[in-house]
Amino acid sequence: CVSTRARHGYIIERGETELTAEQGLDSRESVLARYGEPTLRPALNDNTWYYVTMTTNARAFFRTQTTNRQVVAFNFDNEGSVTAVETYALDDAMNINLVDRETPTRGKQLTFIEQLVGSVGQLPPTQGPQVPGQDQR
Amino acid sequence: QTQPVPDAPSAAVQQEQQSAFVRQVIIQGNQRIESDTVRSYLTIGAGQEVDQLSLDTALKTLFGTGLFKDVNIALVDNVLVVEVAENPIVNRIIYEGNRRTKEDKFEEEVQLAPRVIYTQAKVQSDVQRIIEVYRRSGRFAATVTPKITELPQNRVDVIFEIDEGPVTGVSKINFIGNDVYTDAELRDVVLTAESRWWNIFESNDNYDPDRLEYDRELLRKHYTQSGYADFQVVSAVAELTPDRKEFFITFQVEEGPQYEFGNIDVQTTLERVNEDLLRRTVPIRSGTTFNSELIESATEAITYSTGISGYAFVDVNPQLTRNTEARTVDVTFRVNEGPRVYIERINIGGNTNTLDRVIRREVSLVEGDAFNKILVERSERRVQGLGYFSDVEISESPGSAPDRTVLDLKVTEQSTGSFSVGAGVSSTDDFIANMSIEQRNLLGRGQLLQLDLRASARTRSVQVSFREPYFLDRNLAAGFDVYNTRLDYEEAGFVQDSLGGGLNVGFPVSESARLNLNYLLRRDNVLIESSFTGFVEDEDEAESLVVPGADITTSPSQGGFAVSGDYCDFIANQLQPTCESQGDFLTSALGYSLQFNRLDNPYRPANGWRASLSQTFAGVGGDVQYLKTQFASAHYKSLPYDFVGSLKLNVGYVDGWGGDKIRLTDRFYRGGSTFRGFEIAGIGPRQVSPQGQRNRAIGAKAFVVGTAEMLLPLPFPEEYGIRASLFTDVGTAGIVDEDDKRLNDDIANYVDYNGDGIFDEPIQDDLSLRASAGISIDWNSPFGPVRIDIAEALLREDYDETESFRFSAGGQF
Amino acid sequence: CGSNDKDDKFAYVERPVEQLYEEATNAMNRKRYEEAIAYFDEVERQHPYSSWARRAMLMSAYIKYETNDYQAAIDDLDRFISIHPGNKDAPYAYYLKAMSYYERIRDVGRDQSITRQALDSLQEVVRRYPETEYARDARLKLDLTYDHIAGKEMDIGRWYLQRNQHVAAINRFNKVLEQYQTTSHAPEALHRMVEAYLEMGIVPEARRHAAILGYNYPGSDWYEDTYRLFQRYDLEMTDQVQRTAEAAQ
Repeated sequence: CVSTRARHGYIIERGETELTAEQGLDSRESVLARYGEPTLRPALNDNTWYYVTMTTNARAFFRTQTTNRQVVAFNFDNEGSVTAVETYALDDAMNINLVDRETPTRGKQLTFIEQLVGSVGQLPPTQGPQVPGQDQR
Repeated sequence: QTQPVPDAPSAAVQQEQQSAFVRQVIIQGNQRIESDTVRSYLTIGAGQEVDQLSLDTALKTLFGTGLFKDVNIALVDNVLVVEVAENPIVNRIIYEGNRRTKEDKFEEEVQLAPRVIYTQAKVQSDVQRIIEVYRRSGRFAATVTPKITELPQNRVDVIFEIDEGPVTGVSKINFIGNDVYTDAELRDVVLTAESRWWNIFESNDNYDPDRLEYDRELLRKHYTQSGYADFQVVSAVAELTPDRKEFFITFQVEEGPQYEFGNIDVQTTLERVNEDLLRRTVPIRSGTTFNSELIESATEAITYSTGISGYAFVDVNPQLTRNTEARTVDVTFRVNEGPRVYIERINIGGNTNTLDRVIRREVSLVEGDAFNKILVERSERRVQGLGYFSDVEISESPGSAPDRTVLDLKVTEQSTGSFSVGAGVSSTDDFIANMSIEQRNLLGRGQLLQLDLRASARTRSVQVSFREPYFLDRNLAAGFDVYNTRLDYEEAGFVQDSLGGGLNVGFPVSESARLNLNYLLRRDNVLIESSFTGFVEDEDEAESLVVPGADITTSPSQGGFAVSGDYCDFIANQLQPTCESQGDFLTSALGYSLQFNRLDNPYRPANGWRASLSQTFAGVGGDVQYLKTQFASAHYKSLPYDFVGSLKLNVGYVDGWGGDKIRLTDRFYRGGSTFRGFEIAGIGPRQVSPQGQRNRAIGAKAFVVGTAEMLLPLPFPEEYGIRASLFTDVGTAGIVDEDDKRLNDDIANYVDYNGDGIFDEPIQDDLSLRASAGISIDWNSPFGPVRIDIAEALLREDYDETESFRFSAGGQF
Repeated sequence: CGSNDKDDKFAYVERPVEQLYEEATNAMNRKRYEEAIAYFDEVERQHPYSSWARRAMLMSAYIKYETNDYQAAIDDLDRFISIHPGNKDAPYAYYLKAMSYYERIRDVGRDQSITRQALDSLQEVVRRYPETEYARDARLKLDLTYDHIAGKEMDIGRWYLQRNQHVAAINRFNKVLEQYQTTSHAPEALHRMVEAYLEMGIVPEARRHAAILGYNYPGSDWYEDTYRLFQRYDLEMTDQVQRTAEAAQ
């Protein structure tokens, strides 16, 4: 049966060449000018930029498969000039089973009665403010 | 004592010398507001140099707080004396003269309320707001005069004296400069309508400036879609008659010549995209009349096809060149590299009930994707299609970098729970009531839970069904239902007690087709509850009348013995079709249904078609073996003047296999909602009995029903939700197994069921054509869906059962 | 049970303010909240200039807060703040208003506009009255609110990760690391980064996040998960992390 293909992340248009940079020659500015914002800029270290191109394919009820992934990583030194360019392809991928534990969060859940009655979030307050100071005047 | 609102408060600044040193600040005249509050607002403090300017600013800031009616600032030998008079507090608001509009309508708008500070500015703005409320309901002549009554402790009562004045209708809409279309035709185009006494439902017959603006747009669209590329609305003026009762609205238009499409061309700088492929997607033929809407759909078609051929960032802009003498417009679509924009984030808001992921999984874009307008529109349609929201809007806002954008998807939740109570009145006036509770968005998880309770003289059933549209977080819908029903099928003369359940899964096989697989397991107990009395000369012959082991009672009567017992225990009755279906049996069946849906709108289709083919194979274990096939299709076409025509076809065939005969309970019964104008199981093979006794439907192995329906445009506005359609149902139902007709072989069983003196065969089954016509109205009333079918059977067999009126109402919570 | 006629019943019974206030507090203590509110409002209406009126305004807002009528409480408090910005009870008014939003924060799966309002009003309490005990509690609630917003980012990030949309997931976890490092979700965000980058096969980046996780949260369950991942795929973690890992055994 028919499958739907989709493209995610950085788009390499038809006819465009692969992403490259000259070590020592290119810098953050030249990469930015040529290819625009990177797809991923790791929060805690700005010395590596990643341009990720991905295509997926979804067929009937099967889980969406990643049919192709190209990652180009530009490494910069602290002065911002390119030190190395690495690429990762689909076959580098690993199959990790994700931990299903979650850090707990609070907030009012929607209960069945509430949805029935329609008044949401009306649970009595937890602790918090007491009666305003008892002193008069 | 009431007196008009005092004029602007007087403010005086006595000013001693150019600038001086302030040793001390004294606040006087404040009662409710503490002195240090006044000091906190005062821009001047003790120990500061002060001059004319700083005194003025202090004065202005104090007034700015809106707390004071009057302020005097005086600098007397280095002591700053601030004399304030506090604004009073509102005690009560009283509206007088508001006959047509109730008070709570104003309360939402008006700022002044009990215990709020009274200020001059607030009164003026409230007067305007009240006038605005009247304007919106079409009363432009309304006037409001505010009055206050002083109360002790600096409190006031505010009285709004309202003179509502007449409703200012629109007496005349006329057009200047229109030769192509008549005034009447253009009046149909614009939304504002002339007020006429007989047109009580018309809500657009008052003057509303924004609607007038929208009317200009409607006129422009109307003309540019029929070739008038240069059309423009020169002016749209509304004049009020001197007695302020009526408005005259005049549209001045300049039509300009009618154009045709000249040559159409597509030019692109994108490599590897061939232009004639794009030209073929453009739905415009040169020589046809110019139509602005076609240009928009052409732009969309080109964007779509370039998207498919691998270009995510495409900018398509049509260039129109008019050649006035030839009256043609050449259109060149320039297709170039568009701005490279990526979606940084998709924020979902307004979902107070529905979970974020239930909405996010319908969005066909992922964060980090290239921006694609068509996918954004498709996502909006898909989220709207969930049916949980009254309104869905996707808007864009700039992202954290020039080539990044953020999509904000805003939804407004609506009630997804509904309960409905149904009642049916049929020609045999048998009262049916049902109650079903449904929650389409259980706990905001997008799951469907239905509880259906049915009770009437002849059915009692409880059904619970559940459906999860994304089972295991995949594009796989899965669900189950469990039911226990007891059906006293008078029309077929048996009582069926069944307990069962089913599992089903469904998934898309293409953009508009879905395949569902289901498994059904059900235990049925069918019994013929009616008793029967036979007659014998002497007692010991009684046993011979019945099946061995049947319990019978004999009692002497008329010189012999009356033997009474269960209907089917009597050998004579064994031939009755119903008796064969009696007993306990288990049905275990596998089935599939393939559904195609190409409708433009699932809820109110106006164009497009849908079709479904389903087959159920019973005999996977269990002791019932049959194959049931059903095909259904519906085709919708929108016709001029807002009519919507639809043609529907329903076909079904069922037969036993492996020597098994098809039981009564698994046959097709047509009538009621499946064939309007006839009672439930009103058409189809029937076992007839003498006049006065009830004929019994024995179900059909095959049926074909066609429906032609015409949805009528109603004068009521859309929000009333009333829809009416004229329909005609045509079709037949018939074919029974050979040995169901064994009764017809013995002439003794013939019976005169229609009182025409001729004795007819007891089992009547002829695939004759039946037809009915009528009107069906469904109204989405405030308390729930109401449906009424009124139909007349035109073509029928004399043994069919007709039903002229059917009604059901429901509630929404 | 039309409520407005109740007002009229009170409206014209001019009574000394102490008596009105007395009845209001009695009604409150007997949990007859609607009546208590009516009395407190009456105190304010009949004697707007007494200091009782100020106290009554606050009491009525407090009762509305206790009976979950949060929006009405907020309206009353806004009015109090506009009339008595300098009053000694103003900090309490700001605080009660912040709590009226805070109590209605919805779970991470649903609309978070109330959380945003809670954040703004709590920040206002801390900004205006840093020394008060209200600010101390507001700072605690602020941390919990930031934690909640980070929780929403994680909820969506995990959803994208489960569907193999690594770019979307990583950007969501990035947001948590950039703006909410001090919340309880930071260790999980780091571990999810390791999972996502390993799934894409980018080992160095996974290693970098594992190092930060090991360094800052050595004892956390999340670090254990990361450590186990590196073991199973026999990837060596950078030696610096190796050392802290052994120390943590």
